[in-house]
Amino acid sequence: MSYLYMGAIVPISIAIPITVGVAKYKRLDQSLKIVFLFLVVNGLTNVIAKLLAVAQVTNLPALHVYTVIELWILLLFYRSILNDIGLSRFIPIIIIAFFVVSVINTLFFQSIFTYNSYTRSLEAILIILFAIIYFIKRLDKVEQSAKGTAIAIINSALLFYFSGALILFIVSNVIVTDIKLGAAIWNVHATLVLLMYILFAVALYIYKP
Amino acid sequence: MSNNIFLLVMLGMSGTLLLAGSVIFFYIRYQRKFLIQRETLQRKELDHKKHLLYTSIRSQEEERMRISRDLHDHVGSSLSNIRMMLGKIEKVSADDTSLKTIADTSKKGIDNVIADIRSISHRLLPPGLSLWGFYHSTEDLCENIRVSSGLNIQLADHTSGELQNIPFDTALSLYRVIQEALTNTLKHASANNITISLMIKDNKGAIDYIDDGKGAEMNERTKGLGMYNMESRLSMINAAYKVTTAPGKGFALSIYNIPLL
Repeated sequence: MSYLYMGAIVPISIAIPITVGVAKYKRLDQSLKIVFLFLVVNGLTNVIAKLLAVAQVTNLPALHVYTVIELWILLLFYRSILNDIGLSRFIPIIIIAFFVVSVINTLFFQSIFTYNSYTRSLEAILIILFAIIYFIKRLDKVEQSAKGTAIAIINSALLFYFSGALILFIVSNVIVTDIKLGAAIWNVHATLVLLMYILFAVALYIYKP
Repeated sequence: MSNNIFLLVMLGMSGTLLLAGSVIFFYIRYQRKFLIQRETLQRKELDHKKHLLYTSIRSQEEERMRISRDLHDHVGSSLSNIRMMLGKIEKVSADDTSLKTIADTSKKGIDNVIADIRSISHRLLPPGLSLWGFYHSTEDLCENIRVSSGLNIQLADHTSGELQNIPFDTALSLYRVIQEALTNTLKHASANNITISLMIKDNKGAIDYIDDGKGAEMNERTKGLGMYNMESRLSMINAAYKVTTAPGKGFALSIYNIPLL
């Protein structure tokens, strides 16, 4: 039952925000199109991970690549919504630095057949920081438009997911040996992912240009 | 052992989720507070602008009254004196035909000026408004325009006289609005008929003004100064209004919610 939830229901649920995104794609602005791209890449990764699992091949190498791509897309999203020249200059440097750190991590610390807990944790910390920066910068700019609300919901979803998942990323290599414990903890992670997808779907649904 | 790890992970996760939730909660709360503050400030600014506008309208009316009184009392009486003097000159110089003609022509000129001054003075301050009330002053205004323009103006009072006893400020505002509407019809509408109906709706006064002129496209951009004046005067007395017009379909102004006390 727990496998059905974590391995099928939650990964398939990404179809909900993707469907809303497809229906409204033409009306989406640049930042929302980046969110849509994030969902598509996330969905494709779910499919690849499932195919590799069915073929009984480890899907951890895909996770190493996905981590870099995910951070890259999410930082592009933050660059588009923050409208801050200083931060905009800084973001490409973070993306390149993260790529370099990921390569070093893969080569010297956590091989592609190991869960990349260091880079996943670092990614989570970076996204949490950017989510908080966004809220701080928007504190005295009340956005009553549908677009502002949609972006705030997406930011809340990212902040909530990565804050919850950070602890899981940190301890992931400790719990990997205990299958029962791992299943229980990754089920909790699946719930966070589901919540994020639902919030993304709501944000895309209420968005108006 | 695994139970302990699960508990620790869950505790850690709950902590981070709580922190994230607090950030989101704080953001929403702060934004709401900020929004309320901004709305309060905007409302105060609007109230201040309204106050300035009302003060300007009131001082405009006071100035009109003063000019009207001065024209009537001082200029009018001075002209009457000059006219009397000319009458005396006319009598004294009964034998001097040319002087008599000059005096006669001057008297006619002065008569015209006195009539003009009276007309200007009445336009500046409707003389009967404080004496005979809103309905009769409006009737007087309609009659003057009917005579000078040839327009067919129907003024119908469907009230039991409630609009006669409204406060002077309310009466003056409504009078000015109708005056402005009549001026607009005369200037722009090419209308033949105007109907003005005074009514009572839900214990409040109501006025319908309808002309059969060429109408106009009405939106914020095309609204003229006259319409803004009407708006200001009606908001000053807390009355509401609705304009219905379109090219070729005449013009209708519905004023309602007029306070009677």
